[in-house]
Amino acid sequence: MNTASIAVAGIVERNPAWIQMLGLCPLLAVSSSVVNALGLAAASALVLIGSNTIIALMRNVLPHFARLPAFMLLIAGLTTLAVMLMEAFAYELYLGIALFVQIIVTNCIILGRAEAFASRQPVWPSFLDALGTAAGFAIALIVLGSVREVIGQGTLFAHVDQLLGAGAANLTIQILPEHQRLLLAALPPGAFIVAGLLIALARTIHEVSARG
Amino acid sequence: MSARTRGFLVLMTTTLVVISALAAVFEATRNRVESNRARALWRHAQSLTGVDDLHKRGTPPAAGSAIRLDDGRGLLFGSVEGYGGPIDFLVLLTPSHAIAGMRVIRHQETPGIGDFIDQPDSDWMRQFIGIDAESVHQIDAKTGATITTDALWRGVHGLVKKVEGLQ
Repeated sequence: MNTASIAVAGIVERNPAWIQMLGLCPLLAVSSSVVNALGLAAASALVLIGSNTIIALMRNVLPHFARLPAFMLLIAGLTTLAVMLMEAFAYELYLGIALFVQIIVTNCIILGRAEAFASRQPVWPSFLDALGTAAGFAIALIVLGSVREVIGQGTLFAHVDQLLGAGAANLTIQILPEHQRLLLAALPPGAFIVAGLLIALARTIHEVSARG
Repeated sequence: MSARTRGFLVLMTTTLVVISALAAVFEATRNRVESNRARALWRHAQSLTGVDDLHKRGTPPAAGSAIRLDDGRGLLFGSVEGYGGPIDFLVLLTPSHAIAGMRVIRHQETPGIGDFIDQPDSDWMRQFIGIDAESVHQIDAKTGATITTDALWRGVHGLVKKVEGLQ
């Protein structure tokens, strides 16, 4: 497998959310808006790329039996780091989604890539694998977040200043008029319905493209 | 070196590196986080009291203390141990010591179960308004969030009693 295809595989063939169905708890909980989705995607990417790279560096000195405790130590440390950075630099967003960023520790996407890939591969491929998987998860989050925000609130990028600072406040786009929104999409049941439809769409595209 | 010794050494080194990194980031971001917290706290206090120059008082008072507003109302700063960690909250008292409002500023309660406390306009939270500290325990508990609701009762009751005792 060449290096570019490692990253692409993480985005398309084994997209962690739509194909492997992993990490769905934070995905459904946080995707009520694009800004929340971006925040979780960035934190997950930091942890995933950090853990995969460090684990690949350690793989030759780490005996088999000490593998899981070492992985968990690193993943928990990186998650705490992500939460601390968010508390310092995006406090409003921290107040909204910190609880879900904290549970990145238990996200099976991250331990899965550490165990299945980074513990047996050199640093560069492991980095690319993490990059692709993080991008795949981010795309799933952002697509779900966009659809739910447009239908549920009629906007895109609402509260973007929480992520990029006060100067970005006017980036919010009003797509639907105020009274034409369907609140269900922004609520938890809406997360399941919209995610279900998107998974069906992703699978259909997958099958059609496989058939040629 | 046996695999056992090597595993032990690698785990110890990893632990030390992770702890040092976290401690360094904690120190480096400490001031920023504190000013973020102070700003958020004053914003909550302003929306609760309707007084918009509160932030000019500088660093917010510690939990367990209070400030008297110009119109005689009291703004109380509290913190109580909840299910997932400390719950920081504000209580606004009328001059006759009835609760005029209450706001949870920061908490780590379970999402979807105990996090209803951060919605100040919910029916449940509005039950605090207009009662005195002794009646707080008559507010219904929420199914599944007994520890969270119990913490808020204890927190509000204890805070009001403590501040009244200081006077």
